[in-house]
Amino acid sequence: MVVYSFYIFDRHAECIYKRRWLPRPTSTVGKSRSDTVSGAAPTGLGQTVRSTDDDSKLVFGTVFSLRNMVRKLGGEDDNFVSFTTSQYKLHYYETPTNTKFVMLTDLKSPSMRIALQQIYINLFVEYVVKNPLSPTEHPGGVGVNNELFEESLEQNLEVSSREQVHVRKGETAGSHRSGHIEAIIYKSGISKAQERHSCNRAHTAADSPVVKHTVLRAPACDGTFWREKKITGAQHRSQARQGHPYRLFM
Amino acid sequence: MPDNTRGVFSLIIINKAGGLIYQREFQSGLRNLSTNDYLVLAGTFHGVHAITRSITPKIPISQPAPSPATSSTGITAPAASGYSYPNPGVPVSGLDYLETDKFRMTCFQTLTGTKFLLFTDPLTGSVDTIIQKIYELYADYVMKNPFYQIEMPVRCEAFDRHLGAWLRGRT
Repeated sequence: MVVYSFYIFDRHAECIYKRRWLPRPTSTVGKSRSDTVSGAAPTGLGQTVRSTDDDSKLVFGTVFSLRNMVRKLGGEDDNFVSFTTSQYKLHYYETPTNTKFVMLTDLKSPSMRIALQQIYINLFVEYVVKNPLSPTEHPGGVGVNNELFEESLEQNLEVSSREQVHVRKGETAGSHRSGHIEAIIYKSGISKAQERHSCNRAHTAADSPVVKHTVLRAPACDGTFWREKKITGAQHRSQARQGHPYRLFM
Repeated sequence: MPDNTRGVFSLIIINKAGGLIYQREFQSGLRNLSTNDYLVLAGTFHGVHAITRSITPKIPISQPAPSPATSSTGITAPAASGYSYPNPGVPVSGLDYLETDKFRMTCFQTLTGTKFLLFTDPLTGSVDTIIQKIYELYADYVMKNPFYQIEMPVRCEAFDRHLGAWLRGRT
């Protein structure tokens, strides 16, 4: 299953989060990275940025019109789940508060209604709505594009397995060789698991290319203060292998 | 008798300009709309169909532009025309199937741009066969009718009769 893009629209018809994954043209899954064009990150590609911006408006217009059409025909309690063209499939989920989650995938994907619902319940509510620093409205995506939400979204959407792992230039495995790296992982906002990884141990083949080095800002469970911890890509993956509760797909 | 037409709710035919030219209900299951609402629906769908075709994801082709792959921004710059569609062998189409909780809509667009919209039960199988047969009946009894004016509402008794008979007789 390949996910092409993902959008969140709020009740004011504004796109508060958009993200596109551009898969590589060939079907082979290799080590070569694919590009991640997120709406928040400015890129040098005028064409791509413009088309994501326009795409989100077109996507909203489409789902809005179709939703109205479906309600007119099927009754007020009917809602549309997905549509298919010859090239892609669009999945739609709307929360009771009219937040709309839209995902474009390839044709082979099963119904993503549950997955979108899980993204809403487990990620959006947990990391955006429950975030004390996040505003209630999200003009221009404020509050949605926090690291925790984006990281978890990316983890959950295992977009064509390794294809979406993006390598940051200048960061190599060597920069994390010494010392201890601590990772505090919050699961469902309730329990936390503290992992200490000694990077002096022998790197396994899967762990050796440390490609991600991000700072997670998470509210502490007692809600009193914020902690900043660093987590590496290898830890992300080992966490995923151990069956992270948010993981939806293989 | 109604068991034989089980699954097919209604049929709408939209001409290539987005106007409603035929609407018939075979079985209740969807809410009844006024003629005006059906006209609006046909026009809306015509526009949405075109938009769904234009938002098809474009996959950049990396082969023609290998040099910018390692640019300082770390982002591959796709060549201006260097993209392909997810299913390169298949022509890009607009909305084909729409699924909701209560019904399933299948859209078939002919080569000349006429759209057939078939509303069925979500569990009905072989919708493509049904819609092909409807197209066949349309070609036989509407397009070959010497009194039918093209792009105008379909008022052909023979088409109505054969369509109803075939859907009733379908097992």
